[in-house]
Amino acid sequence: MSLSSSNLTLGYGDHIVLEDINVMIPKNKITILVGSNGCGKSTLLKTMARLLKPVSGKVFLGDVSIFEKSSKEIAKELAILTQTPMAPSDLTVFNLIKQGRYPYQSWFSQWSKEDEKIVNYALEKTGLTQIQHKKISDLSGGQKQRVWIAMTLAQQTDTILLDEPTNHLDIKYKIEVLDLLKNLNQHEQRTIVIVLHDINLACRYADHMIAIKDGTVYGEGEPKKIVTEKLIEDVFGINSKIIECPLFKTPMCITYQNLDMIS
Amino acid sequence: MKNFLIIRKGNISAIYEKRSILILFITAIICILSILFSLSMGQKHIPIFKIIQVLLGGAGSGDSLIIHSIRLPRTLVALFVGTSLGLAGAVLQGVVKNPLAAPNIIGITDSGSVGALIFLTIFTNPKNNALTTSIFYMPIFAFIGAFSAVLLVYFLAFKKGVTPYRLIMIGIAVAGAAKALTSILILNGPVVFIKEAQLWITGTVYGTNWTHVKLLSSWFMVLFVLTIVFTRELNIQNLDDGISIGLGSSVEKNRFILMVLSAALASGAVAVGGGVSFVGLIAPHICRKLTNSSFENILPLSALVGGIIVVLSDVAARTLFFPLDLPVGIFTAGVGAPFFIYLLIKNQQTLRGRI
Repeated sequence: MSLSSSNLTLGYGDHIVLEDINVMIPKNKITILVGSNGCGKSTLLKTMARLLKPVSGKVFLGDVSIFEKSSKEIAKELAILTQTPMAPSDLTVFNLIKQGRYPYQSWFSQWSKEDEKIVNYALEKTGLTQIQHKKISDLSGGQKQRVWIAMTLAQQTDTILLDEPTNHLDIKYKIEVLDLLKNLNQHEQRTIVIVLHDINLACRYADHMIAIKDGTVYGEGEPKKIVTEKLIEDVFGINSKIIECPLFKTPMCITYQNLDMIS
Repeated sequence: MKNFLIIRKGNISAIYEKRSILILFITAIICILSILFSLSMGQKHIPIFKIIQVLLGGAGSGDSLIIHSIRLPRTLVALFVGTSLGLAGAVLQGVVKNPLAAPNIIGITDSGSVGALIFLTIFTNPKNNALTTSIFYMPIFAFIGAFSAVLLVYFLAFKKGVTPYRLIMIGIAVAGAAKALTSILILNGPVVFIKEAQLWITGTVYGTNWTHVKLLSSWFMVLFVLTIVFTRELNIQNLDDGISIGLGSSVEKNRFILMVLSAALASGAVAVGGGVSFVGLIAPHICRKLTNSSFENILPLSALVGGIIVVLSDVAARTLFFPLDLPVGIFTAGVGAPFFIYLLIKNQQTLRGRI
């Protein structure tokens, strides 16, 4: 089921953050939301996952508005990983990932064969099988993030939304996490929506990019087609030169404030 | 899966850590031993085998009378005050996502005091300072006081939903206001009830009888079963709200239900045992150390550990300074507070608590 928004206006109290947003998340693709700090990209992502209520407008999953559907049913079709989530540090990897099965369980059915199968799959897919009995507090930043991703996998959804999943991670783990998401998209045809700060990584991993600026969608489409020096200047407020990435053939921006500073 | 016990029958399925089951079993045995110990200690020492004989319906004797009419009801009240407070604390810590929360921090105990003092004020005859009605109705007032405090905290904290942070802040404020009310009531009341009030505020199981046992134990049992049904929801509550909603949980509704469960448990204990402090805080903490923060482990264990703490504290309270029979609250606080400081120092990591 595909995710889309119609005439979505978002804000907190009287303060409107985004106005009249109409986006369509393409199925089985990786969509990346970019924009400067505070532009509302996270707010949009959270609203699409029903964590926030819009001021007006609707979010559709398939052809039903998500606020009219049972939250548990949505949780079987759409998973969201919020930014740097917290959990008690003495839980084990297994304990936490197991909770991803929540929408499928009830108070008397807490560990069906299906639950076991899917959790084992999630552990394996994220490379955590060997360390599933470790406490979360003993893991590295990259491993922790993989645990959270595994929990969304346990939810067994077609669509996964992630709010800055690479924040606070070393570059090595950033790539590790994004590669994992790419793998999930390519091998399992999952629809993935990511809010990402790093424009170059966004260009590399996105099939579809949505750039947000001044409370509205500035541009959307394949990075190769939409990422220009003008877009970088308008959206991020910085000068740049766009070249083709020698490895991935995607746009790569070299940003600068003032060329005179260097020469 | 070798670390886990998995039960599957038709649609019913469950999973438990084997190690936690073992710990629960051992704790249950310690709990039974504590009860026997409590029955044996007192002005007259009764040997354990004699106690078992009496409990199994052995021949009536002087010992049988002491056990049945004095020590057993008092011990069982201590037990259920402890189990209620331990469980209430565990639930509350899950709801507010903070291992430092406890029933007395959000005003349950202090408001129970207000209820008890209102009873003493209304029903004390100013001419002869005697109660005009049975003291037996005091728990009802204490219960209403404690329970309405929680509802008050919840509704004051409500602003498009309730955040744990607001719950704690408003709870502390309500506790403060209740303390002030308590002081006013004590200062303006007849002198005789200063002692009665102070005893109650400290927490005591002195002079409790079988009616108390029946009321408190059935109250606890019903709430215990309900709480166990909500174990899964508590595990989810312990995560960030964003994650919980994403998993499809009705976060607000469950938070309210769990708050009410915790309040009902604590109010029952407060109504019968008064302001026994620290049990709701340290019992879940000990259980986290013994197992981990998964509520299927913590809930039953916290109840047992809470029970053990209060039963043993009461043994100390009535024997250490014999013939003085001190309120049990002195010992739960006297042992609990230093133990809590020790936990905080030793266990910096759990204090930070979350990743």
